[in-house]
Amino acid sequence: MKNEGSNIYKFLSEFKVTYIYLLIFILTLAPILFPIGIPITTTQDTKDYYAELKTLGPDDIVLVSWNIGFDALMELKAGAYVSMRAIIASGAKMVHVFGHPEGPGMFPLIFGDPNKGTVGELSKTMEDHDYTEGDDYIVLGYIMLNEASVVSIARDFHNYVIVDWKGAPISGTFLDEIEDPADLAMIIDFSAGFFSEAIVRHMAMDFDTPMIISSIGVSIAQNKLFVDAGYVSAILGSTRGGAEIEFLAGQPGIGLQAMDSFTIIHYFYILVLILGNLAYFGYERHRDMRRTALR
Amino acid sequence: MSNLFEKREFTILLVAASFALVFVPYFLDIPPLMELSTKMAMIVSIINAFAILLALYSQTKRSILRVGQRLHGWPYHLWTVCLLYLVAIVGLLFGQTSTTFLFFQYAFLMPAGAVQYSILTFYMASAGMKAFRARSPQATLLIIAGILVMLGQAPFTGAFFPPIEGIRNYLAENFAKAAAKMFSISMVVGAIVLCVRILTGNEDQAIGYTGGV
Repeated sequence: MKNEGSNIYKFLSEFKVTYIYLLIFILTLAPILFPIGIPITTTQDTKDYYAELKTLGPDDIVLVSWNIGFDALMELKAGAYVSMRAIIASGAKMVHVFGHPEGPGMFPLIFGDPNKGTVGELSKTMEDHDYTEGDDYIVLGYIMLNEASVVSIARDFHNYVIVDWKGAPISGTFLDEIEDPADLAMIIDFSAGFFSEAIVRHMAMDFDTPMIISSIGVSIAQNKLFVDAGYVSAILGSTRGGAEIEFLAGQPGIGLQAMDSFTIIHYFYILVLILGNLAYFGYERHRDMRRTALR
Repeated sequence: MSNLFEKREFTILLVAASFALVFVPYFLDIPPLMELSTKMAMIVSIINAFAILLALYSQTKRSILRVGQRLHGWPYHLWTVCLLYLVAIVGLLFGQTSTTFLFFQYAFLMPAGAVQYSILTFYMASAGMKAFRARSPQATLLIIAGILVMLGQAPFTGAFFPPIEGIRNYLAENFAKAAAKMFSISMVVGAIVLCVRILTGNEDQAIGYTGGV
């Protein structure tokens, strides 16, 4: 510990986090303003998820459960856009349910609202395929309030749900064909926890309905257990999965764009971790071990 | 009669009957029982939804107390309660798809959600630099695993050094899944134990008794 004043380890140990925050800000923003186009590989999980989506056809009805709010949408939106575009292009019909109170605000950002003339991310795709609310997709709103409600939707759908989120009756629509989840071609769950497990338990397990999950990063390991058990066919993992599926579908968008910052920030974390530990071994450990008059 | 409802044994019997009503149809195919079980799930779902009123009451009570006593952060509590009731009133009057209701979602919840999510980036970097230290062999292994997973997670590494994807997958498919399995199994076993304790009358607090007979 000679010449402590100019010790590089001490410098690292006392380095202000404010500068790290500033570096993160710059390293995140710079690749967005000046894209690099970092190459990307695709994982088997994403390939499986995309292959499942490609099995859908015009006679199918898909349940899309949005177990996310605005926050997790940031992480999953790339995958969500590609998934929804694939379903719209296949001609399959969709029934949307929310498991999060922010669902009513989040949904119009993606699908827009034709009645109000608001435009969403997929409005153009829907217009191209003449995909309309009521005929091709129905929104049931925030009806997954708890696990018991998932059970009720699964077992007694037409008694539990009688109107859509705008108060229009669901009888006389394509939902008449749905008696229970066994009549669905697939369930797609956008998952940040909430009632995803309940959907697996009471729909995929009880009625053998094929299910795929687009999961936030921290839940991937948990959701993969359902893949191992055979109840979920595939998982799309987080922002990276979103970028991969954009690549597979040939629809470059916000996911692939994010990969530049994503990569750089990952390397930056590794660097920070190493520097922090160098500070520990070169300075902090000796400082903590040193005897003082107080001990 | 009122005495009967106050008896601890009666409550346990009621819990046991409700439990059997939901549990048995999973193992025995008795259609009327399944129908009854479904009705019960629907009733529970509706009662559960109304529990939001309890949350509203308790948040209001707590916030008013803090505002009244001018405790630390009282203006935030005032703001919370005002918004809480305003959103509830707007939602009830105009509906969940109304522009007014959505204004609150877009003006408050969306930016708050984005900030809350992205701020984690800064916390993680701060933890990496200041707290995440290889103080023990276990911590060292954790750091090494973390670095390998992060290297594998960054698409650039995999594109130029493919074996890293295999290492990442090995760690995720084995260690991460093993931990997730352990967590899941522990939760289920814990839930079963709790259920058995409630049904055998050993967990009084769960059924509304604060201990003892």
